[in-house]
Parts: sequence; structure tokens; C-alpha cells
Amino acid sequence: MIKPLLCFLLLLLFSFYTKAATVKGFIFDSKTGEPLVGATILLKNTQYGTSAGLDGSYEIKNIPVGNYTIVGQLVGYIALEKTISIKNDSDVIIDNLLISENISQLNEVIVTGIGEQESEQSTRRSEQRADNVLNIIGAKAIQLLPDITVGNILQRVSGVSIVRNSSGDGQYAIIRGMDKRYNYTLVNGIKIPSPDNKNRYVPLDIFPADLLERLEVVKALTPSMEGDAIGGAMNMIMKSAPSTLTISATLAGGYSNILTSSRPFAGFSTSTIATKSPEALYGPSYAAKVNDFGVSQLQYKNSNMPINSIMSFSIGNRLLADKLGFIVAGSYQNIYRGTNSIFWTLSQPRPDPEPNTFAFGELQIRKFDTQQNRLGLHAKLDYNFNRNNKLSLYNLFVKLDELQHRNYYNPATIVLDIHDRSRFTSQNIYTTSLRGDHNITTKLKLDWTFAYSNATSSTPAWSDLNIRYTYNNGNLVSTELADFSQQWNKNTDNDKTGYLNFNYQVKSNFDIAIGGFARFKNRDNTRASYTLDPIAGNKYTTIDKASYYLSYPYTNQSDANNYTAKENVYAFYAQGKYTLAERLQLIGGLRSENTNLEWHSQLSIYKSGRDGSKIYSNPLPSLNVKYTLSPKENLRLSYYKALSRPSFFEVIPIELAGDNWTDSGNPNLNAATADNYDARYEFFDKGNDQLLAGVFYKKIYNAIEYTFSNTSVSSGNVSPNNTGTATNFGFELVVAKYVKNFGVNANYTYTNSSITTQKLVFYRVDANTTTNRNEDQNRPLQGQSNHIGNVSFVYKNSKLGFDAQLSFVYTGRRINFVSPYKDLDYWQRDFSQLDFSCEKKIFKKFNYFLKITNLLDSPLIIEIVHTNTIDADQPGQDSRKSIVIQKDDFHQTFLTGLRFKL
Amino acid sequence: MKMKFVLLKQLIVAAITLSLMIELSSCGSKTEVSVAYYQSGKPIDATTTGGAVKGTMLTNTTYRITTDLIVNAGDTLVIQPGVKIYMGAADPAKNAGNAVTNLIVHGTLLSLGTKESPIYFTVENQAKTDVPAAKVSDLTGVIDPAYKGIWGGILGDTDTKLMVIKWTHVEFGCGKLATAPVTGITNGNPAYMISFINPNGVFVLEDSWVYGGVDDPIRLQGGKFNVMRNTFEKGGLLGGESLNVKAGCVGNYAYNLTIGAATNGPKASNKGTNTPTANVYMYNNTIVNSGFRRDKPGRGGCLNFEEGATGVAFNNIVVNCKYGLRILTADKGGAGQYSSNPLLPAGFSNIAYGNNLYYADNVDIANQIYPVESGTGNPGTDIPNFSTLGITLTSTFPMTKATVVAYEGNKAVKAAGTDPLFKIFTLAGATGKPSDISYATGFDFNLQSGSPAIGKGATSFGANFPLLSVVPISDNFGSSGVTPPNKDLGAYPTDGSGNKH
Repeated sequence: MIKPLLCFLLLLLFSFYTKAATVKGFIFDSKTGEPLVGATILLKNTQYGTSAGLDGSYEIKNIPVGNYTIVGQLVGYIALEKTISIKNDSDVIIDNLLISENISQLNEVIVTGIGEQESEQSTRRSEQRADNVLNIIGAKAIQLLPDITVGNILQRVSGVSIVRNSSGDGQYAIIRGMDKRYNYTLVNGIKIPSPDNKNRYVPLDIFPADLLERLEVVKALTPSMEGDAIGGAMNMIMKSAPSTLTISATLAGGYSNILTSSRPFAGFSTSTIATKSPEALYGPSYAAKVNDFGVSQLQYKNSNMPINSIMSFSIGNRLLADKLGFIVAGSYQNIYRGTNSIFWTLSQPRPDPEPNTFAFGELQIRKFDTQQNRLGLHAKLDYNFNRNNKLSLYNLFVKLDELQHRNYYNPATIVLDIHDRSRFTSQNIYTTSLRGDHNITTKLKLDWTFAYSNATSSTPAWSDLNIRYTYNNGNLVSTELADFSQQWNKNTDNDKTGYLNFNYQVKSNFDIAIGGFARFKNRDNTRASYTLDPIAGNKYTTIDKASYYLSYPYTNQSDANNYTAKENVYAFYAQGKYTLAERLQLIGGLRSENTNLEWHSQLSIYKSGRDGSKIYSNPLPSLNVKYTLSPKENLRLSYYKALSRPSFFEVIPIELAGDNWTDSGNPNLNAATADNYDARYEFFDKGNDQLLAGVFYKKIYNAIEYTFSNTSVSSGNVSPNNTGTATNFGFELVVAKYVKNFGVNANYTYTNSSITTQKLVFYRVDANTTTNRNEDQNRPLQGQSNHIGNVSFVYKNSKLGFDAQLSFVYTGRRINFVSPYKDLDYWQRDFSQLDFSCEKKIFKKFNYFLKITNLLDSPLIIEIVHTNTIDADQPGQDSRKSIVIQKDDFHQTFLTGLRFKL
Repeated sequence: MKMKFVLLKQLIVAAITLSLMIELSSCGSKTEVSVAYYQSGKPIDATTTGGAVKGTMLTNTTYRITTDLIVNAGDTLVIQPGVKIYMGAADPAKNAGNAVTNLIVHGTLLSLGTKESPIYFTVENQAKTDVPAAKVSDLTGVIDPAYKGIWGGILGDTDTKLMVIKWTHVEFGCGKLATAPVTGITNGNPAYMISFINPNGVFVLEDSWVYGGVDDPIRLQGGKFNVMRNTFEKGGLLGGESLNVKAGCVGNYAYNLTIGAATNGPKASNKGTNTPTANVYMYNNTIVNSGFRRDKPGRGGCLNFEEGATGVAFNNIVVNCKYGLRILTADKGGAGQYSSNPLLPAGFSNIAYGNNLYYADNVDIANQIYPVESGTGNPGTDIPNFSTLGITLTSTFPMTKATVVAYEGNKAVKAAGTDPLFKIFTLAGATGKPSDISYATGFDFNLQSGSPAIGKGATSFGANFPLLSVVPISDNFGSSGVTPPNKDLGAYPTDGSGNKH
């Protein structure tokens, strides 16, 4: 598969060269001198013409002798006309064209509707002009990426690595080694709540990529930004109204090649699923009956090669003498993914032969079949009353319905337990905001926003089924229903936020901004679970004919998973921006965030923590210094203080059983805070060429880590605790270089973090006695890789309308899960992924595109770095130095389609 | 000059604003959490139906319990002979979400029955279906009340110092707990009929009767214990041991009769983080018809050591149990794990065993007297003696799906000199199923004269295994007496020093 593609690429690179009269040169922005990639250069009233390359160069060949008018033009620029004359066949005329923008320039990162915010040039300029340290990917770059969700795009950003879901797609971002809990997600600068049942961080695989205008990763905060980003903040800027009528549409299809006739997709339907639990329907005192539980979600249907489909549509324009701008866009994806996995459950470590000798539980051969239905709808309206007053209304609805079938069995037994789990998760986020921008005087500006957001996740009739096949001397002697349970979970986060910001220009080089917000968050969490008991000795055939009963037909009425909580956050800030001699810019000030959390749960009155509240305030000073060394170079220094709030799940004394442990909340948990220092050198060369080099240092106080609190044999609990001070430092390097039609984009981040926590050790005292104790273990933070990097090779031929990109991502080994047992942490082995995408203009307004992911067929491997005690020939084992406890294979995905743009 | 002054003024204003903000935002953090409700223990009286109590339940009185009965830390509940405690169904709204009632002991429980006037923890008007081959369940669910879990259990917590239960019937418990009111039971799981979880506490269960159960009738996850001369019937529905012991427990399990347990009589495992290492002396027990309701094979059927546990296993009579003594030796991770949830090996070097009698009515049972995962081999002191029968154990590990036996056991079926000759009992015979009789009523497990079990016992376990006496000896606050091993096998030695039932 890979070879022909590469040949095809090479062929394209070295073709089309003949010698004749030629006009060539560069096309630049007259003001900034930046090369204008994709600008059209043509000879008026002839068929001769071309587009500028990645470095702004152009070349028109084979021109007959004569006089011509050469025209240089680009959307958003005033076209330039010049006359040239060609006297000889062999003439080579060099003509550099300077054209100027016809709109006002952008100042800050968050800009209003007009202008082409999606292009590569624009993102580089934004990075250069930004007040703080950030990285940006624009829509043009996103369009060419192999990725179709925001989660996957993030792995391309410098300093960012991703945490994958069981289908292998990026779900959460780790920024500079700081785990997902230390980062937040914004949509158009407005923080959105998470549909996650336990955490604040937002699953990023919900968002379809094609709604984005740009994706910003902010790594140093200013006082005007929300303060809970110790790692960084991800800001999704959604497409805004274009300056002229723009219609675009995409239609694509593809497949995941793990799904074949020998490994079909075994999916289920949710059409008859019981959306509500018996308790929700009839009340807590209702004794549930067998008939209240459906089984259709456990009836699987095979399909050999299900087709993935993607559709998107967008229309935008400016009307009423350009006063009203609008854009409406929709995106729909229906994706089938498969994962084959090997998984070893773990057991309590042994004291022999050495302390904490790893012991596993059982081998599970797992198979995941996941269908994802992703819907994104977005609408943005802005109305300019006059120069001084503007109103915009923004709406976004995203929804991810995931139907996941997990099947596993333990192959090496005389009792074959086959487990099937059907989990239908419906997550959605809705956010709407109304924003006003007003220039009260020429010096005083005011903006305000009212935002309403709602995030919901629901897993109705989540079913776990275990069928037991018992053999004796090789013969199947019985087939029985062993375990069967169903549960309903639902959580809703509802945010209402008001923002108000004033900006006063004290002097032309000195601005003061003050402002703040008040957010009222309400959360509602419910859980109802039922065990359906097997009837011993009854032969099992199919689930619809199975017999079972309920020995306890109620839900747990003292389950703290049923709770309501509210959190009010009041934040205010004062920020000054001062520019000295047009070269030195200082932005600094103080922010204060005051959090007021309270909860009411269903926990038994005989246990502590049924109700509770937490009030805390965090003063968050910051200072960003930007020194412009030259028009192309910046030097930045910054300091900011940030916090990380515990989630509701972490402070309420909830218990929720997981695969190996029970997670439980800790009401005494405090927010973590951190001092963050950054220094960055930036060089923006012609075009999109770029060099960014930076260092950072973070000191995290009260770092939140999960530690083991043993309560009994059957219920070891892990709960979040403030485990002391952690440090994290590293450096980042970003290089982008474009020559004619070629570009290379690379970044590398080194990170080194350290924390010491107490962990359990089982050891032998003497021949007769074994015991255990807690010992200190120093290790990196969960999720931190020492080395992460990206390299992309870009080829762009504007004349042929052909773009291609080969993208490589490397994520170094990192702790995937912190074990409560000393030195037995789960590490994710270093991971390399190679993806390819290309796009070709086929008709005037149509582009054909192809995206292929995971060319190297990289598996995801989780291992324990410990002498291997598992037989070498056992599934997944490949070294005596480590124990592979999980190996996920995803194989490639292919996607091809058409894009239409007017 | 004036410009500079204006700027200075502005800077001062900004500085004041900032310091004000710092002042405002430095108000400290505060956490408030609702505390667990505490009720001081009320003195027991005739109207007690639950709640926190202390004092004495007076002889021959009947109590009907409808909400959890709680003995607070520092309080003592004494139960005099002849008391009947009917554990009723509970209103979940008043009972921590549970539909079953429990006796929750944080303090001290002294249930002091006598042979003449035993104490009952039972369910009012609940008949037993103790007939041969009674059905456990039908399509509507469990029908034998022994396995229904009508009430919860007698549940200790990590702070329970002393639990003494003598001459007491504990029946029909192990109901499902939506919310476990104590440490050591998982929410949503059945209660243990008796649970004890304090490694520094003392647990005594003597001369008592434990009937029925859904999971383990007795689960100890820490404690010094003496479990002697008791009768266990119908323990566990699809799994469950008469006595299931984890890390942090040391004590004796002797002179007990177990009949019809789902899995084992006693089982010891050193799972958990409590210390010391689990050490259980299992001797002179009679274990009959057990191991047949366990829903996974390979987990034992009479006496079991696994996951680092230590102790002894001597002088036991094992009649028609699914497996013989199992001291788990097979390591995990081999190509042939026996069961789908393999476990760590027992602390084999710290276990002594021998002098056990096995009777097998059919070849499936005879094939498992020495189970494949158990590393005992033929100790030479057991009855029957496999060398005399001419049976050689070929392999103990590993095995494949096709071979789950270590030898061909035909010669051990009803081998001469293996019928222990109980005074009154119906052996399964060639056609009957050992699981048909899972109760003791109507039978007498004393030995007839001429029984092969007489005179075959070890009266000591060797120099490395001195007799254990870890609990205080006291009529009211400890053991009535730690009976040493006998020259006869089983729970009913001919000198009458064993089980008095």
C-alpha cells in the first residue's frame, strides 16, 4: 500500500519541466513583505497563469513573444496589474509583485469575522502578534491533515500528545507533559463543560474537524484568561462569516481495514433500547421484573466491511451592506472502528522472589467494535450596527453517539468465559453565546458575553453478559449464563456564565483592562444498576431465550453516584498592557478566581460526606513580556500562576468499581496550583517559514494523584490525594521551512517531570513472614513523555491544484496509569504513527481528497517495566525486560471523497 | 514633566487596585462535610427492633429486628441463652438502602448460648427444606430458603475488638447489600453471614450451627480466631466456604462438620494487605458432599490453601467432595491455567498435611482426591494409600484442556477401608448424587466401632507447627477450650472430645 503511494508522489515532484520564455518571481504583501501562498498570477486575456508556491514564488513558462499585462491577485487583496514585454523565446523575466490588503489588520488573536483566518499565513501572523505563548493550526492546514476529529489534530501541535480511546483515536490532550486534568477547552474563547461522567476535561473526539477555523493551544495565560490551565488551554475557533457568499460541502466514504470477512464488525442496534431504568420509570420502591430489561442490545449482527461516511456542509455570507454576517455549518460522520486487543488483568504483587514481584490475574483476548455517530451543527451571526457597536450570536451543538461492543475471553482454561459488553454512550454539548462589542469612546471599549452551555452523557442499558462454557476432558459439558448486569448512567452539566470586560487606553502605548465573569454550574449525576442472577444448571442458548431472575430487584438507594452539585466561580482581573519604544511589550496583572462548590448526594446518612461544600480562592498573578528583536523576531518571557480544580467525582465520597480497583472520592482534596515560567524565541521568516524555540519550568503544588487506600481484600480503593510538590521542565522547538512547492514542518518537545508518592510494597521479612508497607517512589507525572515530536512533509502544487502531506508523530514512552504498587506503573511504549493525505482539484470547484491513517500499522502497547514472569510465547510478549499487559491493534483507515467550494 | 506625573498617578491607582484585589482574594479556603449520623446506644428492652443498642438481651426473650441493629464502638451487646432474634425484611428507606437487616458490631458481641438453651439468629416461621435432592432453584429463581439471603449478617468492622458466638444458630442470612454498612463487603454483593475484619481483634465461633448462605457463611479478613465444633450446612449458593480466611488471620478450624458447602469447608488465602500472613490450622473436620454448587471448576471442594496462605491440614474425613485437599502450587501464567481466574500459589513450604481420609463414590470424585493444581503429591499417610492401591500420580502441572486429572482413579472408588462408617448417614452410592444431601438433620456423624478413621490421627503436626492457641480462654470473653488434635480422624472422635452436636 505504501510503496505505490510514495512512487506516485515522487513522480509528481519531478515532472513538468520544459525550457522557454519564462516570467518568474515572488508575490508579497506590500506591507508585511510576507509571501502570499496560493495567490493567482496570470497574463491578462491569455491562458497563461499560475499560483504562488509555499514560499510565494511563481513561474509562468512557454510564453510567446509579445506584450502582456501581468495580474497578481488574492482574496482579500487589491489586484495589481503591470505591463511586461517578452522579446525572445529564451527570455527569463524576473518580476516581484507587491500587493496590499484591502482590509484592516488583525491585532489580537481573537479576531472578529472579516478576513481569511483559516490560512497558514494568517495563523503564523497570529502567533507572531499574540500577546502570549501559543501555537495555532488553521483550517487550511486542518483540511489537509489526515485527521477528521479535533482529538487527532491536537497530536500535530508542538508540545501536545494525545490519550487515545479504545478505537485508537485521540480523545484527550496532554500539554507539555501535563495530564488532561491540567488543561481546559474553549469554544470561541468560552469554556465549555464536559459530558464526562467523572472529569472536567472535555473529550475532544466529539468535535468534527471541519467546523474549525483554527485551533489554538495557549501555553501561557494572561490575567484576562481563565486560570485553570497549568498545562495549557485549547481554544477551538469555529468558522466565522466570510466576506462574500461561500458555500462548501464535503462527501466522503472509507473503511477501517481491520474489519474484514474474517474479523467482521459485530455491532448492535439501539432502536429498542430501554432509555430509562426501571427505577427512573417507576420509582425507587418498585421491584424490577425481568421483563423490564431488554436484550436487543446484546444481539449482535455481523457486517464484513462497513462503510464509513462523512458529510459536511457550510454556507456563509455578508448581507445588508456587509452589516450582517452569517455562517451555518453542519457535519455528520458515521465511522466503524475495530480494535483487537490483548489484555492481562493484574493481581496483588507477590513478596517473592523479590519485593513487589508482578503477578497477573488473567489473560483476556479482547475485541472492540465501535460505531461512532458524530454530528456537529454550528451557526454564527454577527451584526455591525456601526463602527462602534457590534453584536454576535454563536451556537454550537455537537453530539457523539458511540455504540461499543466489547468481547473478551480467556483462552487458556477449561472454563471458557465469554464476556460481551454493549455500551451505548450518547454525549452532547450545546453552547450558545451572545456577545456585544462596544467602543464607548475612542479610548474605552467594552465587551460582554452571556453564555449558556449544557453537556450531557447518557449510557442507557449498559449491559454486561458472561456466558460460561465448561469443558471436561475436551468435551463441552455445559453452557450457562454466569453473570448479567445492566446499568443506566446519566450526567448533565449546565453552565450559565456572564462575562464583562473593559479596556481603557490610557496612552497610545498603555492599556488597562479590567473585567471578570460569574459562572453558575449545576451538575446532576444519576446511576442505577441491576444484577440479573443466573439460574444454576439452566442451559443457555441465546440471550432472548435465557432465564434469569433478580434476587435484589432494587437499585442502591445509598449510592453517592446519585448526586446534585453546583459550583459558582467568580473571577475578576486587572491587566495592564504597556509598550515601550515599540519593541518591548509588557502584559501583566492579577486575576482572582473564587470557587464555591456544594453537593448533595444519596450516600447513607451513616457515612460521612453525604453533603458538603468547598470554598476556595486563588490569586493568580501573571506577567508576559514580549521583546521584538527585529520585525521578524520576538523574544518572550512569561510567568503565570494557575490552578487545577478537582472534579465533582473526586471530592464527593463516591465509590465506583473499575477493572482493577474501586475509585473513590476524597472530600479533603484541594485544588492544585502551579508557578509556570516560559521563555521563547520566535523567528518568522518569509512566507510561513518559522522557528520557535522555548523553555519552560513548572512547579506544581498539591499535585493531585491517585493513591491506594486499602480497605479490605475485596475492595481496594484508589482515591485522589494531594501528594506534594511536582516539578516539570522542558523545551520546545518548532521549525517550518517552505521552498517552492515543498514544505517541512517539524516540532520536538523534551519534557522532564518528577513527583514522589507513597506506594505499597509486598516483601518478605523472614522465612515465615511476609508483609507490606508504604515506600516512596519517584517517577514522572502520568502522561509525560520525555520526547514527543512531529514531522510533516508538504507538497503543494497550486497550478495542478494538488496538495499532499505525509505526517509523522512520535510519542515517547510515558506512564499511562500510575499503579498503587511501587515500581509497577503501567507505561505506554513509545508510539510512532505515519499518516498520508492528499487533495487534487478535479473540476473548477471540486477537490478530490484521500486520507490514510496509520501506514506503519503501529499497535498501542502498555507494559510494566519489570522482569517478564509471563511465558515468552504468551500473546503480546516480546521481551524479557518488560511485561506487555495490553496490546491494541487498529490497522489502517482509508477515507476518500469530494469537497466542493463556491 | 506633567506627562510623567499623570503616568505615575495612574500607576499608583493600578497598584492600589491590585493590592485591594489581593486582599479580597486571599480569603482562605474552607471545606465542610456532613458527618456520619451517630446514635448513642440505647439499652435493650423488649420493644427493641433495631438501631444503636447496648446491654443484654435477656434469656428466653424474642426480639424482632426490622432495621439494622448497631453496637457502637465501646459498647457491648450480651445475648443470654435461649434468646431468639428474628431478623426481618427491612424498609430500604430506613435501612441504608438495604432491604435486609444486619447486626453491625463495632464494639463487642457476646452471644452466649448453651447446649440446652441455644440462641437463634433466624427468620420467623421460616421452614427448612431438608429433604434429599431438594431443588435449589427453578425458573423463577432460588427456591430453597437456605440460599435466599433473607437477612444480612452479623457484621464486624475494622474497629471490632471481640466477637464471641457460642451455641448459637445463625440461619438464612447472606442477603444482598446494596450499600455495605461496614468495611470488607462490596456494595451490591451479598453479606457474609458473619464477617470479621480486625487483625487485632478476637473472633470465637464455637459449638454453633451455621445454615445456608449466598456467598461465604463466614469471612474473616483479619483477626485471631478459634472456630471449633460447629456444624455448617448448605453454605453458599454458587460459591462459598464455611470459613473463608484472608490475610491478617491466625487461628484454628477444627472439629467442624461441613455438609453441602458450595465450595470448601475452610479456605485460607493470604490476599489483602493485612498482617500477619494467613495461618489456619485445619484439623479433625468432617466434610461431606461439598464443592458441587461452585460454578467454576478447580476451586476446591473440602480444604484449600492458596495465594500465600500457610497452616496445617490433618485428620480430616472427606466424603464425596468434588476435590481433595488443594494446596495451590501451580504457578500462574503457564500454558494451562486450570480455572479462568487463576490464583497465586499457597505458601507451600509453610504448610504441613497428612492423615486425611477420602471416600469417593464415583470415579469423577476419585480422580480429584489429589487435584492437578495441588502440589501435595501422595503424602503416604492418607486413607486410602495410593501406593497400596497401585495408583501413581503422573503429573500435577501443567495440563491441557484434555487432561485435567493427575491419574486414573478407578481403584480409589469405594476403596476398601475408606468408608468412615458414620453412625447414621446415606452415602450417595453408585447412582445417587453427592449433592443430594446437603444438610445434617437426621444424621449422626459419630463413628461406628470398626471405622477406619479410628486411631489413624496425628496428635501433633511436627516441630515446626506447634499447636495454636491465639485467643483468650474464657467462658464469656474467649474460647471455651482449644481442643487439640485427636488420635481419631474427623469431627467426632470416639473419646467425645470433639463436636457435641
